[in-house]
Amino acid sequence: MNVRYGILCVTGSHTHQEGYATAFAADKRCRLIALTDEAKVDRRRRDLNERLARRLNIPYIPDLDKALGNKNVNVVCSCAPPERRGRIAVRCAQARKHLYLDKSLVPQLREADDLVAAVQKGRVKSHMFSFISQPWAREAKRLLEAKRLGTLLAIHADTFFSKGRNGTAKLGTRRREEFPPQRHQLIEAKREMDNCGVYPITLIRWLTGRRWRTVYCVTGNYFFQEHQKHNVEDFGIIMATMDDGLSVTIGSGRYGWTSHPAGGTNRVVLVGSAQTLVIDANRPRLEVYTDETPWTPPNTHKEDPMGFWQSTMQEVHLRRKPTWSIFGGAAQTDAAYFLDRLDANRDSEINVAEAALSTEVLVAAYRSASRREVVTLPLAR
Amino acid sequence: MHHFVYIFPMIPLANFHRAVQTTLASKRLGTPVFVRYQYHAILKGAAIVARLAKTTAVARDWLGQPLERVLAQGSAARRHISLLLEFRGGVTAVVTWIGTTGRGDGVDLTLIGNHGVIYHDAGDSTLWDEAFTSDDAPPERDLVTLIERAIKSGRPEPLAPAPRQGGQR
Repeated sequence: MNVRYGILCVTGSHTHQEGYATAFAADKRCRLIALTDEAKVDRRRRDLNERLARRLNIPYIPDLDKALGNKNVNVVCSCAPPERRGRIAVRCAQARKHLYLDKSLVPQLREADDLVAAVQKGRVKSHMFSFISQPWAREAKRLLEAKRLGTLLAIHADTFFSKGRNGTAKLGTRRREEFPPQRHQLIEAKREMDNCGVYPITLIRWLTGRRWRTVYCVTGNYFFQEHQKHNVEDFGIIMATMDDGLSVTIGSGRYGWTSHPAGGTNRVVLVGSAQTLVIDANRPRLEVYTDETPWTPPNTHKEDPMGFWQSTMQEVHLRRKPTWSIFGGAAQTDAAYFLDRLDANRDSEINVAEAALSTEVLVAAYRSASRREVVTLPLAR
Repeated sequence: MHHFVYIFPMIPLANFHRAVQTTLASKRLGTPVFVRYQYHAILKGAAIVARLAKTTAVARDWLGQPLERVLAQGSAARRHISLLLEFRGGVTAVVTWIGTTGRGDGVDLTLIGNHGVIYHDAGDSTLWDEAFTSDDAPPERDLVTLIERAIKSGRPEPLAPAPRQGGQR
């Protein structure tokens, strides 16, 4: 198979680039060209970038603009931190590179609008990482489109990540949400409603094709002192409506290593007038019980106490949880999905225009949580 | 995505609730912070809100905090109502009644504590809501009134509405 796509990676270790770059590298249609970042990143970030470049055996180019000048680059895979990812993606679109972007798209609505405009102007294709390439998601969409459920009445979705040492947050006080949220990603904590909630928000829009109309949200600090210390939530509940009064509830967050037999709850209930469909990413499964040493959480990595990154978890010898053995259809990688779309000269189903709709829901959710009121969409520009 | 059909003896719903309460009392979950409680039941008229009120009371008792606010979505006509419940101290619950065909009369429950979680899948038992239909166990009047008000308004409703500012400008 011919190599058709040169991939430029933006940011390195201690981001999801560790996984995304590996997925591109494994695809015979691709060649990793280099790893880069903005010229003025701090020393820690530069060291982490250089570390992943070494592991991938590609050069590190410490100047994004210079790297974008390489004519062999067709696709940029960016995992820049939330506060920098908008301007970086715009710059890449201006350089006429296709965009493969980490989730969530950007933290602010203006950044989302700017990015959508830049992608349109640059006439490039784009994609935000999501669940849509998973076989269970594809099957749910097929059943919905076949009208098997009758009239769709409601959707209830939970995405909880089973990572981190829970039980350390101080309880008893309602979280007071700030708006706009200032920081989304720190070494010790992320805004988990954004980080986890973007998956069901994006999935539900993709499944239904409907517009979001209202959003109400409550955020909480239920589990981790790290999140509480940095004033970012570890949990969020959204109650929303879409076109035609479709009712939606979403639970999302991070609830601790030992709170689930596998990686965490990932479940969507589609309530129809004729049938109810339950999509559970952890089914079908075998349940396996043996006399092996029971699974225990890894030691806490001081550079990654919540277990965000592959490399840090390898360093603390994270073991796979052995009890549930999921045997659903084999999943295509999200990177392969985007490459298939490029091969077909088609945009992703989760291009930046679609991903920006999720940004709007998340912005509305934080505004709602801050004001304790229902927020109507679309938001005023 | 999968449908499962299990055959179980009918178990009174109260037994299920008691089992959850017993587990909570063991402190294995730490402090409960979130409940998602979802049930299918073919109900009509006042029975819909009555059961929502009783389920709200169950969630409140599990969380051990007084209810402060409710936001409701849906209607009896749509055969679907969800309540987002906010309790003192910031703990929350989502209670959902689904009046269409489901996987029997089971309850989907996720009850999250700060040290652990209880999961119950609707397919794991067939629950008979004996206690909820018994005449000697009426719902709490305040909760019925609050839920009816929340369904009507579509806004977050406090347990006690703010007093009217009649005649003052």
